[in-house]
Amino acid sequence: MSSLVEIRELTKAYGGKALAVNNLNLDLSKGKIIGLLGPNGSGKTTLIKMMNGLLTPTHGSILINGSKPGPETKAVVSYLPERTYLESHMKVHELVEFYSDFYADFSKEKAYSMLTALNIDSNAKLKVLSKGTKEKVQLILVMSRSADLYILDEPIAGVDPAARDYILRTIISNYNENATILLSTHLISDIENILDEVIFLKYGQLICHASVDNLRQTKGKSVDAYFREVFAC
Amino acid sequence: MLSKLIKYEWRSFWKIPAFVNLFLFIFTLFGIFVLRAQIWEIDNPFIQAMGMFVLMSYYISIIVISFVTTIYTAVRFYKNMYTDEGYLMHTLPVKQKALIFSKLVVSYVWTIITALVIIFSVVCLIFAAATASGADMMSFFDSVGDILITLLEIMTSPEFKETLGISFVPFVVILVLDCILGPLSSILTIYAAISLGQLFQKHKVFGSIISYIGIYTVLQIVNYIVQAPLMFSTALNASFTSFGPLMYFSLGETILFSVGFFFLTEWIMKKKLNLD
Repeated sequence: MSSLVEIRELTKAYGGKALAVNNLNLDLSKGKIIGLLGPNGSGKTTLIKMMNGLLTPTHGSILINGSKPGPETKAVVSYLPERTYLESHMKVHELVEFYSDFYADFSKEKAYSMLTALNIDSNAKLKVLSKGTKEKVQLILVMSRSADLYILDEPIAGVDPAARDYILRTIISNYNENATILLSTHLISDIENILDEVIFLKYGQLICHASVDNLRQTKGKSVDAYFREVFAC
Repeated sequence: MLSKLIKYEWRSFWKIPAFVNLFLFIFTLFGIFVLRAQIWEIDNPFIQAMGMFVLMSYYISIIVISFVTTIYTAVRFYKNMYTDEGYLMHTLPVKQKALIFSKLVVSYVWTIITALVIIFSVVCLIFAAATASGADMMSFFDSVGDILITLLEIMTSPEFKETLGISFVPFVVILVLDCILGPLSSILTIYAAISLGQLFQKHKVFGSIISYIGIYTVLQIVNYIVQAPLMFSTALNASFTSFGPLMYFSLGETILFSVGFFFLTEWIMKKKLNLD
């Protein structure tokens, strides 16, 4: 099994505070949907930001397709941040152009068909759209790429349940067999059925990385129930 | 990729500086009108006050406008590179060099456009003032031409080199290079200061301002250290021959620091990026 992502001894310290990510070792293989799970402050977003080159690790390394985060990896990683990150004065169709200009793997047809399905006006400026609609636009842009690795940070947290279903279906139906999706969330029950593997993080450390089937068999309970047990307050 | 980055940067950047330049253009028209109408000769204090007000507003607007493009350059760079928008810009499959360069090109072009508009506007007003009293336009151009010819004669004379320590051609070349590279250097100083501000754990905007003041202070100290002996010899010998070497030094310094600031910005983006 070939590794798409290799993470070795990855550590991130913010100033004098505790380590946000602590000596993390992780391999992600191709063709999996992987849930990155953990309570708030467990280091999920910090890990994701380091994988995208937005944060510099204090120690350790990340290799994606054998390269450190840089222009080569950014061309094959499709990243959805947990915030609104697009220029708000731009219109939706301008954003589609922007993505299509910079990412060779972007499909305008896919983007417009999803925008139509969710009734989003492509002539609207981003700033006039509701928060939920903005998130949908962002997810559509990210999922219209044919990337090797999709990194989705809380993709369903801000949208209504109906759109959530559509988005999950979109995620599953829009990625090819060799691509991997790393999806961080705390809404586990909603996505448990689509996951192949789960990664549990706690205080920046790896608690568990297993296939969902294995976990269910060995623990005799759902991922959601196991999560509640591990992270019980 | 670079041309695409420049295209999108231009689309996001042009509105504010274009508006500001249009604003100055309108004020210039008002100024010309006030000067040509010779309203201070009209015996009405209200109209005279209005005329003064327009000219004062013009003067203030020139100062404000020269600042607006610079401040917008700083705000746009900070917002697009180091806030939420940085999540998009820093995950594009492009090199950091290209990101910096695209922003530099667009900011530079608008700085030059703004400078040219300001110069054009001032020249228009001088012309309007000079010809307001019904003076002959040709004689105005003649006197300007005379001044230029006299200036040229002085600058090409052997005394010019003997006095200032630099001959005419290199003097003009350095002057032109200073005009071209000066704005480039100012923009790169801003980029470096904002990027240095990102190394602060908190209060990154404050950190950027502190960094800018720090860079400015260091440059002043370097200038002082280099210039002090030359100034001293100038005072001692009552000669200005150190002026030429100072021009060379100043140009060299501009080039060196500009290159340095570019690579410092790139290094911070590459090795020290920490988006909140």
